Amino acid sequence: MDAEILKKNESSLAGEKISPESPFAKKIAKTTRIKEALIKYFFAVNGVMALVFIILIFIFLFKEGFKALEHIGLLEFLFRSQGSAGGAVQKIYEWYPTSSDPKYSLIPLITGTLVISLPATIISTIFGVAAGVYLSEVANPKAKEFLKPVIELFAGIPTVVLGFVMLVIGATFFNDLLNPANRLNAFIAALGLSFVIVPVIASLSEDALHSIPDDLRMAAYGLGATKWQTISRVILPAAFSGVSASIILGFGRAIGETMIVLMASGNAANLTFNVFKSVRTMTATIAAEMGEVSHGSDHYYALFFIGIVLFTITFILNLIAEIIINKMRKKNRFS
Amino acid sequence: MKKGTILSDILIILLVSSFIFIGCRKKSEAEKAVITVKGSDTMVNLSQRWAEEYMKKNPSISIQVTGGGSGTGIAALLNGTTDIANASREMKDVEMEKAKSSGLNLEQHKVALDGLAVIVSPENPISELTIAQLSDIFTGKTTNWKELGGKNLPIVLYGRENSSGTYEFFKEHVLGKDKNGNQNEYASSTQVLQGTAALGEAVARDIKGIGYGGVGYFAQRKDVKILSVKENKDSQAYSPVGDGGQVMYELIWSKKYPISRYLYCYANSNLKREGKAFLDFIVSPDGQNLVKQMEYIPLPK
Repeated sequence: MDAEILKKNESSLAGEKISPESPFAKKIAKTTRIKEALIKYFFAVNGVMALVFIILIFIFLFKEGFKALEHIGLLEFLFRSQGSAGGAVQKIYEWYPTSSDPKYSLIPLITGTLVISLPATIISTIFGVAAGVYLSEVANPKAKEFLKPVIELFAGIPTVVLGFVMLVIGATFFNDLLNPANRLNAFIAALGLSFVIVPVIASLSEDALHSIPDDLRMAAYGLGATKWQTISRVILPAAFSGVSASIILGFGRAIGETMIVLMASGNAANLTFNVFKSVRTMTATIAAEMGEVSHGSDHYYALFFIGIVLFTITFILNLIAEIIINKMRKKNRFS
Repeated sequence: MKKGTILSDILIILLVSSFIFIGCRKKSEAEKAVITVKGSDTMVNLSQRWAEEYMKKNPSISIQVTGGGSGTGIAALLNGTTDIANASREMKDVEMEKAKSSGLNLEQHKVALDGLAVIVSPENPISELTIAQLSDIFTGKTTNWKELGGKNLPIVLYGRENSSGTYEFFKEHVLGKDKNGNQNEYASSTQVLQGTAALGEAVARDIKGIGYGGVGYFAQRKDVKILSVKENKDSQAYSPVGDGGQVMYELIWSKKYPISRYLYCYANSNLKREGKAFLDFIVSPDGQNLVKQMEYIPLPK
């Protein structure tokens, strides 16, 4: 179709009538067709590249990571059973991959990840949903036009900068204020993470709230509801799935974030649920140890195995959020 | 669009992308003389630096440096898969015998020294500790500064990532072994910081903190206090850094300051000419300058 239009345009530009059967017209038609095809393939290659790379990364990660199961064993990634002097068997949850008797328990790393990402998600949910509600329901269009890009700009701050700010300013401030057990701790890292996740939750929940049809608002006002009653009893429940999807995506981002936790959490592989103690996340472990690990060692494969665990967690979280968002879209379309 | 063209589309895409991947492959460097260096992870960065500098001067030579640990390097030297082995310890007797039995005549070259400073906050009243006290602190047996004569504050440990050479060196030389002969481990509450700079930053701001790192780096810093260390409680304590912030090379060379060690390169005596020239470069003033730059201790003059 397009080729025909092009052909017509070109011939009219030339200013003379050429019948489509003439050799000249055929020649133009052929070159345009080839050009069109090439352009089409160029864009297609670029589009498909993303898929190809994801699959390649996926294959590489699983190929390297599953060697860990051969070399180390699944149970070793949970705990090490050690007979103590009394004869009782003790379970040891420790991450000492370079020791002469290496221990590879991922439990302190997984609890470390949760001790940081759960508070970060809670903090960000409070501020993020509130910001989303303000942008969608309260703010006048001018304020919204200005504030939305500003909030989204927060997500664009390099995480290493946020990590540095938390390390130098945040940690000192909270150390003087709360006198925590460790100066660098999970709470500091969670606060730093919130700067990245609030924009994610705010922006996505604003979209979800915005997509609620105006009929609902009008109906609520018509029944005599106040603005707050409309938001809390009508709009938020109606957008519940979309808002929860935004929170899940924010949680996924919190688990996958590396630089802030690497700099601000102190990275001690403590098995603790105290947010004021130093903890170590899975991402920080990979980032800190991959640089100097010798290739092909058990430690190397163990780090890839952590990668698989992380990949699986974030993949599942993103999948859930995607399903919820899709369902919401369909529902809103027919309502 | 016809259905049949989808298949040809996919084929063309695959073809194009495979060409891109082929294009990414490196050209071989077969025409260059290759020297392989393998061993200690502590020395990988230093060795890499030497190699870069040497290759800049001698573009016809390619030096390939890999880590893996001192033991791996020496094993590779013994079975002939590397030209030079980096080691942060002397060769063990077992390894010497193995070399003899396979008819190798290995030469030891001292190439640099490695010294670690123990640092605390300047507000901490403690100024000297014994190796045994340091071991108790970093294994988590001593948990309060009061037990060492300081303030009544919990001790917060700062260390390096477990794949760094500094981590291993401090573990072997300071933490020592328990009564069953097993290597002591750092307490799991030890906070891990990225690099010596971040560690210095954290200790400087934390009155409860204690950490360790290369002497050459901390000598310059005014915001941390470098502890004097003594072998045992009857011997004299020495600080690796003088009052003016200069590194006390004599104390480290004479081993009076206890947390230091020599770094070695091992090579076969029939090493090819290019390899010998590289070893000569390492001990030359230029090579030793790079040692200082990398915050290690140069060889005694």
